[in-house]
Amino acid sequence: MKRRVKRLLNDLDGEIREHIELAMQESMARGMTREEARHAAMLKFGNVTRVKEDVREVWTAVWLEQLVQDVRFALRGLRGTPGFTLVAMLTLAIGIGANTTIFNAINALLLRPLPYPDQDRLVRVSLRDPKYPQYGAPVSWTDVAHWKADSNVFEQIEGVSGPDIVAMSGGGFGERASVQHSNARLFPLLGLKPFLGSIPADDKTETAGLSGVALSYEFWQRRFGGNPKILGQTIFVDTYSGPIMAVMNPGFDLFATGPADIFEIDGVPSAADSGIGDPRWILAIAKLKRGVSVQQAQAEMEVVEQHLAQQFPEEYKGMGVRVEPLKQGLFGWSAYILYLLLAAVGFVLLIACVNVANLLLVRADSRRKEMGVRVALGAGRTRLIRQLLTESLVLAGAGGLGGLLLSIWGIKLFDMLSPTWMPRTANAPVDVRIILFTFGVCMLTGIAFGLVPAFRASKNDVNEALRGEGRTTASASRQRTQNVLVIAEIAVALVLLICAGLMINTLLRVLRTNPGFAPEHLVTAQVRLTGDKYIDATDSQHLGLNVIHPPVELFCRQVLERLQALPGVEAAAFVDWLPLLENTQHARPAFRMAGQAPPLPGERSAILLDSISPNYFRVMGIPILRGRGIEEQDTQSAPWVVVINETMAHQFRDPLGQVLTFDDSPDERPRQIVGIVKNVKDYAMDQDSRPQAFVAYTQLPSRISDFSEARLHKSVVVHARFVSKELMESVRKTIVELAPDSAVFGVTTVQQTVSASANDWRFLSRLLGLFAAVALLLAAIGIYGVMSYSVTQRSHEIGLRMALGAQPGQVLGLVLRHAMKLSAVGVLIGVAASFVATPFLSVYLYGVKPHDALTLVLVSAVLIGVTLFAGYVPAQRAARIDPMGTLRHE
Amino acid sequence: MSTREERERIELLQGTLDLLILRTLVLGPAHGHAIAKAIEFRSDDVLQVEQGSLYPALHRLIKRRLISVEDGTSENNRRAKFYRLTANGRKQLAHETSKWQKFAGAIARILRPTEERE
Repeated sequence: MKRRVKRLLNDLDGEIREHIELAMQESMARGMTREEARHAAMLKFGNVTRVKEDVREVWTAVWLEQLVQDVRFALRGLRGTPGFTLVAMLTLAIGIGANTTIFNAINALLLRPLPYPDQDRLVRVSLRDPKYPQYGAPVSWTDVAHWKADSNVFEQIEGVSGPDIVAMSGGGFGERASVQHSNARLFPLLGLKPFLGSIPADDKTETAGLSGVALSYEFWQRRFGGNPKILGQTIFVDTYSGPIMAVMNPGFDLFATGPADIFEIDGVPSAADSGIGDPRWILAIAKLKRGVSVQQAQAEMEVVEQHLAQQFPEEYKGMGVRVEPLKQGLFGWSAYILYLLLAAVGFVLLIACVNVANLLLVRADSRRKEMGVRVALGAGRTRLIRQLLTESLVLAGAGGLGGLLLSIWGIKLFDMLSPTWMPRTANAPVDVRIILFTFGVCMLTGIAFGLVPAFRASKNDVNEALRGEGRTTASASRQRTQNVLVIAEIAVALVLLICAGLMINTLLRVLRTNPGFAPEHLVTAQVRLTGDKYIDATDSQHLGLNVIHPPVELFCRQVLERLQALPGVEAAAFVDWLPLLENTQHARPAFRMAGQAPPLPGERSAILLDSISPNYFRVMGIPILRGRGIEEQDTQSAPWVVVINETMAHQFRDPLGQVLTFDDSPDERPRQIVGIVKNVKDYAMDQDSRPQAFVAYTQLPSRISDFSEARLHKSVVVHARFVSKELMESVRKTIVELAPDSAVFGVTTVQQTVSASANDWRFLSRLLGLFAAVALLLAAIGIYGVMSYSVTQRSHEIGLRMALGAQPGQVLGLVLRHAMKLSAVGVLIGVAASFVATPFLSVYLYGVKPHDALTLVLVSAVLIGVTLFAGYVPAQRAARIDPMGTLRHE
Repeated sequence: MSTREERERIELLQGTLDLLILRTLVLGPAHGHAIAKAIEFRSDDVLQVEQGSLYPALHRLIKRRLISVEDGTSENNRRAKFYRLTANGRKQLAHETSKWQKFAGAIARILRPTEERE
């Protein structure tokens, strides 16, 4: 068959020649001359080359052959113009790389299945707080116990907390660690077996109290050098002590924010013995029974919730319940911000495409002759388009490879810039989806930037192209296309610039916001006390163990004395939690006024309670508005007092002199309100201050079981004339010497802490700023390219004008006016488009409206300035044209 | 390039050329030019075949084993390819013809009432 086909094809030439010969003979017989007859026969036969090609196509997978040919041709063409190729490839690599980076995050968090067996049966069960309907609210151990007892759709339902920063001590020194609380059955639910040891999940662990801890593989390696003998040893973890029962498998990272160091295996209180007001701070994870859908579970849980609301109105009234697939429950919240970022990088890629399309148009102009020759030799139009598209696809493919390489670095950068709550994305392995996405983006971009130039090139008039005429008309229409592309580019860049501008504006406002204290000249350090000395672990009648206050008080007193004695230190103070620290676990007791009944559980309003040293307000520069602050005279034996902030003061008609009692310890004594201090930003710069009270560290009960985390955490603040690295180190050393088993960390300036509290905005500002900067650069390159090409094209005309007396200044103006016109139209369209785009950002804005006029004007001015600059260089070249030279040349 | 713009002439529907070739070859083996001439002649020049397009069609039919090819001599006494209907081709022709007639009849029925209404 093969040989026969070959012969058939070889004979085709002769066959066609014979066909035409026969046709000629017939015509000649009717009286035509030989020439006329040949013409008529050829006309009737059609395009010989194409017929041959079509015949070949019948026999072979010609498209493949042509593809190889086209690719080879494209590569040759691209190698021939290295400058063009490099610029185009880099442009595309940046665009595609940025897209792959963001898509990697989307893939890691939203698309990839969770690494647990039966992950399609895992769900998160959360409460639906009507105040925040779009997010699942945290639940309490009690909620989990109720659901476990009352529902029928789950094989299992267990609780787990988010990671907390705590202190851990064991083996002679303290360390800071991140801890997740969970119950023992969580691990079998997720289908996980420990790497070492075992986590017994028998009924004994169903009672309250800590049964032990499991270490993450990473922490075990880091802290214990992978020593298997540590199993069974007792360690202090924050306020608990327990045996090390197991080491988890490497890479187990439930929230993807970095593996928690330690899992505290808590027992779960049964529904019966947990009290009202159990704090809601954990996540419930459940496994659906086989054959039960998420919708069925949701329906059943709604019924369960209604029953609970009748039984325990104060706990469940107005609360809904929500069952959602675990992946969505863990990471669904990140979809909005990630898709927002994807849209931004999509814009960047769009600009990159427009730029490359522009370059291709210019290139196509210089290849008009080549195309003309190919058409004259019988290349069909579709064939030409296909070949040109192959060229753009090869270019896009090269750009895509470059982009994939860039994204390796981009993904690391993304993780580096993202705030701590953002799950890490760099560890996610590259999978089929990423490759497919990048490949798809390459194909789309290749077609997007290649189609217009390809169509335009194939429409060339053969005769004009070959004669080298029709230059002006073709250029005029090409110029029009280019103008439209540049305008689009400027408009898109402006939208990105406005978004970035709004975020940066927000960031600046956040940073300029007065936190309510003076962070200058202050050094802070965090201490987390732990160990037998401070904690009575024997009495575990409640989940929180007893903090023995006198040694804590002694430690505080000694720290203050020693720090104040350090050279260069003017004053030292401390507070439980420094304002604006991430991840605080404040004591949040409710209180009751003297002479009044304790508030009903539903009306309990918790406030933030901090214990402080007497000079805390002075060191921090927090003004006292009325009355007095905490003083040295406020000792254990003196009458107990409390100072409150403005927000809390609003709860009373006449606060000073009133007496209240906090409900966090049976040993609490009534305290008189002796002063009101100015509000500070306690949680975040864009949040109002919450009601807060301050008490002297010398006026606390000797045993405290509630909120023990807060009682064991101290933020030390040191005021120094000159803040230096040496000073910070000596502060750290001083504290470590006094509490060798505890964790001392976060030694930094208070200014740094304030600045770090703006990290969320910094993340968005930096990313959007980066994207906008790239967009601006690409747009500038685009304008530059178009303007300089137009100058080259018009050099004859410009030369003529100058010969006729135009001044260089006028020529400069001519070109600049063109650039100006383009950027003005682009800016107008961009501003209009931004009105659609910026509202999506409004959740992240603080103190700035989505249509902030100042940002709009400023950013537009920057863009116009940059485009004018990009146009100025070619304009100057135009002004320097030597009229005689160009005229002679033509 | 070389597309015909004369209105009265009808461009062939995709695939109908194959059918016409098969029909032509019922009368006996023929070479390319003769086939083209026969199609034009038998349709009173209404169907205008771009003669070149005959060849890809012929090769398509060879590939589907509906026709075979043999060497012969042309009127000019030169070597030429002669195409001949195979048994398969005959069957296919019968099948395609009845299909085409049904198709043409259906189209005609659809078009008729519209014309009457006007």
